Amino acid sequence: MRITDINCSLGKRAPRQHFSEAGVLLHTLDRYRITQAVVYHADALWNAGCGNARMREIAAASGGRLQACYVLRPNLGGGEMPAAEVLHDRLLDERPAAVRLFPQQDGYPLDRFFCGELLEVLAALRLPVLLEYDGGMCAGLPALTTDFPQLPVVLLRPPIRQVHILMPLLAKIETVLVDCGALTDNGLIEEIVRRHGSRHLLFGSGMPHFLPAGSLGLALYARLTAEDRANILAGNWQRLQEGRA
Amino acid sequence: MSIRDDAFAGRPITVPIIDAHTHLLGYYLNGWYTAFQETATVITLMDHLGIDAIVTAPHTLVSGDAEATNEATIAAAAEYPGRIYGYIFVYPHDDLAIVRKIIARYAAHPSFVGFKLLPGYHGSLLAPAYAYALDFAAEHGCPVLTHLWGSSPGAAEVEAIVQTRPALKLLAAHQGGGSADCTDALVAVMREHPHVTMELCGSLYNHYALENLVEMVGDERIVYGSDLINLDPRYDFGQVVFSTLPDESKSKILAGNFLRLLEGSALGSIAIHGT
Repeated sequence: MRITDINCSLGKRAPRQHFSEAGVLLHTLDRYRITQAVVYHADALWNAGCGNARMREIAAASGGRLQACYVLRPNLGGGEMPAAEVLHDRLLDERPAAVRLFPQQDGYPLDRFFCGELLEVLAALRLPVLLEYDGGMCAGLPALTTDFPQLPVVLLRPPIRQVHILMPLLAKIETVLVDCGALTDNGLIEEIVRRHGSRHLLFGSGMPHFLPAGSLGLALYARLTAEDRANILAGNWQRLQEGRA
Repeated sequence: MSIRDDAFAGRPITVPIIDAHTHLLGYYLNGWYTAFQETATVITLMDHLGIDAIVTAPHTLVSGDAEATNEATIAAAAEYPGRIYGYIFVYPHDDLAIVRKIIARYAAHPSFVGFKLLPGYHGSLLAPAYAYALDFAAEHGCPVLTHLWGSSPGAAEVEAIVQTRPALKLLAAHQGGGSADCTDALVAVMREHPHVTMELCGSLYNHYALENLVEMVGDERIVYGSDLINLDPRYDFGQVVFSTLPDESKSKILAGNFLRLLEGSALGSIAIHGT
């Protein structure tokens, strides 16, 4: 059984977390029988260039267990981020598995007006964009995904009581995917699969802030076909990677 | 075959399991959602996980209708004997005479094994009606499951009620209130009051893993609960069965500790295979 955990980080971000080093992450993946993880480095929150470079090195040394996820910000060509064409070529060359944006934390609306240049680059590469779940931000996703129909958008760790936002998004937007690691409205995983198929769901743990036990309970005890479970645990992420430019 | 091996295979767990925090009946207020409402489906989900029995206070408790809630429990327990047990629910804004009558009537029914209080939703844990129920529970040796979320109510109110009732078997829900800070506050109370036990459900926001909780209070003072029907029981179930704790600890958390709380109780009891 292959399991790809799409919601992990390294480095220090919060006072209470279970580990910060790559070796411990690899050991934890083994303990929870997780095949590989998509990981950003918390240093990238302070300085994207440094943190992303560090994550790239760690991923390169992990024997394929860790896939680098870059943290990017929309002010291209300024003090932190390179110009659009340079960024495009760099991403094409370095091939991170995904990108994390932090619009709420970094204080910008995620739309064409404020982030168009960055989103054009990511959409051209069909590079999955991972977003920490925020119900308010989701109101902008219909416009965002209309403006950038090639851009896969992954909502990380939506918690309980989000069904009135998640179901319309999954019903109407093919490129929106959801990390089901904390999707704890009872039976919602099965309902999503029944109504919209398993292709929208991915497995995430939230390590190192959470250990994977609870998320594994949801994914491995969901009453699904073996094919749907395999899609959620690893297949859908692989499909996104194969669809990249 | 270990519990963990069974869990990775998605098989029902074979050691006794009691879910000590559940609510039956559909509930959709304020964005809450469950994909099914029928108790029969709850039973199939229990079978899928290997849960032997649940202890419930149906969702009509939120609106404060004590009689409807307790009657719904009796109906469910009668429909699924040995699988569903109940907590007596009391509403703190009812007249004290009504509360006394409710307790007297339902404490005599064998399906009820303890009390469920919903402070926060229904105000302070220090309400007079709750004081009557807590005194009754302390005297009759049955557990009381109390809601705790954030600071509404918080550990200070827990401390206040156990301070004057040292024999009270208090089951503090949601690991103390759903966050690591709340857990820290509850653990401080638990260290001073040996009859306070932590219940697990709603752990999706808490950065402490079960291993941390066991390190803090020991494996004999934690009880598995899920908040089913709205919360998916599989998350908190996963916290236990996929944890790296030894099977002996898991067995205590999944049923043994709750069964121990029922020892010496004058209310109903739970019979599980192998216990």
